[in-house]
Amino acid sequence: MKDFGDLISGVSQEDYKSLFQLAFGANSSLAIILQDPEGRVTFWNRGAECITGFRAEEMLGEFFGALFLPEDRTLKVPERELLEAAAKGYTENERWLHHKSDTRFWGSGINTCIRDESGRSLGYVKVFRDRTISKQTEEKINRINAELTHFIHLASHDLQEPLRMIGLYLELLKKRCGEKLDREANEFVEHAGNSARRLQTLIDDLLKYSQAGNEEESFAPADMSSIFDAVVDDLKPAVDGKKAIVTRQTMPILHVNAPQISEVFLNLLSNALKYSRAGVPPVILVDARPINSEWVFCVQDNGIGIPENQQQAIFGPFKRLHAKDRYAGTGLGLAICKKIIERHKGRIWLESSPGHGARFYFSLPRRQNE
Amino acid sequence: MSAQYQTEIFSIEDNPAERRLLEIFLAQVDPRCHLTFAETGGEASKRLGELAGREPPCLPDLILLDLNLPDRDGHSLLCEIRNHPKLKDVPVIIFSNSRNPADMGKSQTYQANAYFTKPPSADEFEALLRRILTVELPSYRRFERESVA
Repeated sequence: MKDFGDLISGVSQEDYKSLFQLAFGANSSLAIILQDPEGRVTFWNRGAECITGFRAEEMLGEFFGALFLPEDRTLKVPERELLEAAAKGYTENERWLHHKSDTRFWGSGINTCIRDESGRSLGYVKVFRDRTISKQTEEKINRINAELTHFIHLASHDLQEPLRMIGLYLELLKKRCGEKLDREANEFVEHAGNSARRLQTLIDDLLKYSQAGNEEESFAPADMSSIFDAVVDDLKPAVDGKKAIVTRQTMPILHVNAPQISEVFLNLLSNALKYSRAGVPPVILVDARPINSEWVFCVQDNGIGIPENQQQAIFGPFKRLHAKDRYAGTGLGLAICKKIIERHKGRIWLESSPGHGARFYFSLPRRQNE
Repeated sequence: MSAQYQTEIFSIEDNPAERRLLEIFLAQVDPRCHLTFAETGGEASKRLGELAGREPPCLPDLILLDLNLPDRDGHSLLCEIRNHPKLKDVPVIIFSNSRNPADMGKSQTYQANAYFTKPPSADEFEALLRRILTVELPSYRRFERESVA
């Protein structure tokens, strides 16, 4: 029977095996395993012993698939991995695997199918590392992140109720007792009412921000053009008020969470309208282009622009570049956009120089049928 | 409950600030309404049971139910009302801060007549109470008569 040794002409099978043993046998941080075309182990280095707990003599002749977790074995994952490697040439994978001590470890690596000149499979070279610690860290971060998001959600929810009361009673104070109060007292009530409304917007935005990462919401094919047009429609008073011109090019149908993408357009357009130059009507151009594996959307304006040193920070929560009384806002708009776009596996960035407007870009992945 | 009022409303609401708002806006919208409050689910259950047990039963025209009660979940109270032989046909409107679709769905399952989130401004508060009294409530009554016939 042919083996890997046949790949190097003039080297005998035995020489080849000892060469392999010399080169890879002692490496203890990287598991290097050879499997025959059926998936039986023919070589098992020191690294494989260290990572799995199984000695070479226990594994030689056995199926590597035995180390897969029972649920993966039921789903025929070991067989599928070999089929995929055979079809594609190799397969990269990460998964929990069984350790001899009845624990599990996170194996991350690549399985390559080796073929001779005639294309016949000689078997597989499987190389992997133990990434358990980074996997556990990742899981911990995800868990903490989810808890934090949940906390923000609950906290903003609980903040809403007392705030609603403050707003309503301030309104009643103004409406029903305004005549009994002097000018100064009325002014104080006015300020308190404005602050309550501002806080309400802030809490609404916090809720949106916490929900932007919510995995349960659904993705479906949606016409980006109609999402955009609906947002422009909602902004009509602001567009008309500023005598702004908004034009868009044809946009694709993409697999997105439509309400969230609508939120992204709303934030980007509101910013473009809000940060316009005094006395210059905003001109906003929006286009979408397919570039490599993505659709790249661009919202371009002729507003005041953003200084270079602030372009990174602007996507962080509560980042405001201007005094509250000059431009209203909570400082969460772009942070919400960033979270939504990242959830769609896209990117968001900008190009701008002060006085020359800004171009906000975001990308969304293309799927094969898009 | 006194006969001089046209509509008897029984509100289950633990927040005194919210109770006061209901009084203020209801007086504005329709002074012929009479409001009775229970502050907890337990108190509501006891008082409603007692009203239903009178001879003849002295039922409210409408129950306004907050979901977030100090002692129990508003939905369990709704369930209790719908399973009570004499209270089961009394219109119940959920009046809650929750915009959670799960809460809305649950209220529908337990047969609340309607679900409204608490209004954020005085105008909206008045408009909602007006709608409840002039549109919602009459439609429930008609529905009940039809279902009896």
